[in-house]
Amino acid sequence: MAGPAHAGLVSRVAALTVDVIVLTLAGLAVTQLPILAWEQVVGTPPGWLTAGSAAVGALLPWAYFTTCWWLTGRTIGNGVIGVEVRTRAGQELSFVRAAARAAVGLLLAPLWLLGLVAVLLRDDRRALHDLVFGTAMYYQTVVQTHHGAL
Amino acid sequence: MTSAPTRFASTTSPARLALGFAVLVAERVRPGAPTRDAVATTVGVVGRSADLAGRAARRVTARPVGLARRSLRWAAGLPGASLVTDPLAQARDRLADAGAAARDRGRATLDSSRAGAAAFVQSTMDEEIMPYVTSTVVPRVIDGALPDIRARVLPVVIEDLTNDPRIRELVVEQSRGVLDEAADQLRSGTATADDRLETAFRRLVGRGAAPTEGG
Repeated sequence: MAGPAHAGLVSRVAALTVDVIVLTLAGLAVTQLPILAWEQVVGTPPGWLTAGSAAVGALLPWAYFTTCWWLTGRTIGNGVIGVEVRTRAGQELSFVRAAARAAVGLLLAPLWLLGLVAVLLRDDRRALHDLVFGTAMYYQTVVQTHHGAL
Repeated sequence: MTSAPTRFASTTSPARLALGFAVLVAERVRPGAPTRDAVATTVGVVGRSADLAGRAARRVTARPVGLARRSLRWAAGLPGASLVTDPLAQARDRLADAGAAARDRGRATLDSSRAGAAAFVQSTMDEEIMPYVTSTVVPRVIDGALPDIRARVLPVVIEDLTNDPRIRELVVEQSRGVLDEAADQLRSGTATADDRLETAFRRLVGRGAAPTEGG
């Protein structure tokens, strides 16, 4: 097969697990820290602060995935595991494609996870959402070097 | 190792030890010169003194001895004189042999005395001085110096090391290397797991072997 090797299911799930951990910690920090700080310094937090923190916490996963895929093709979990998201042609994702991929993945998370089964069935290891958005997940160069098969 | 020198030293007489020490000292004073030279110098001085004394004695006794010699020559010409001169010649030969034997024995005595003194010094160092130094002197020195080293020297050394940019760079590089290695192993492991899971799944659903993409 020409081009970079496609990442398999274990790598994808491992990367997603790392991202969930990162987002959990970040979400707690974003939603709780401002309120705690306000309580310590001023007193009872106002409604706009509570609502704002909740809104930021809700948008954080989408912003995280969109920004990471758009700018580098890799989330933190992808970087740890050594995989990256590209278009099927191997190009970087546009902002719109990255934003749409992240939104659908977060809004339809169960379907997203179910679609991962396609990775096991297809020779190019593309999941259902990869087929929808014209993307694929590849091993990074360092992994290709170790495993040699391109 | 130490038992033989100790036995040797205990059976060596003080006079022989003293002689051996003299040989050792001579060797230390003149490291390049062999022992024989030092002894020869001593013997030479003694011999020269003996020559001077003999010369003075010969001056005093020259005339009486010359008269006696001439008388002996005249007497040796007489019939039956060999009865006296032959025993004299034999006595002279025996005296020369005795001198050579004494010289050989003296050399052997010097060698054995030297070995005995060396063994004595070695056994004294091994069995008495070194144990005393290691069990008494060194611990006291360490106990005395350690508080000062802890209080004054170590903080300075640690501060120097922590402020040294080369040390910092080294620590950072090593930490980075460890993290990189761990990440590589993780990536390699997940890539291998990708292939194994895919192969097992395809075998399970009867779709044939998966193409090896990751490893």
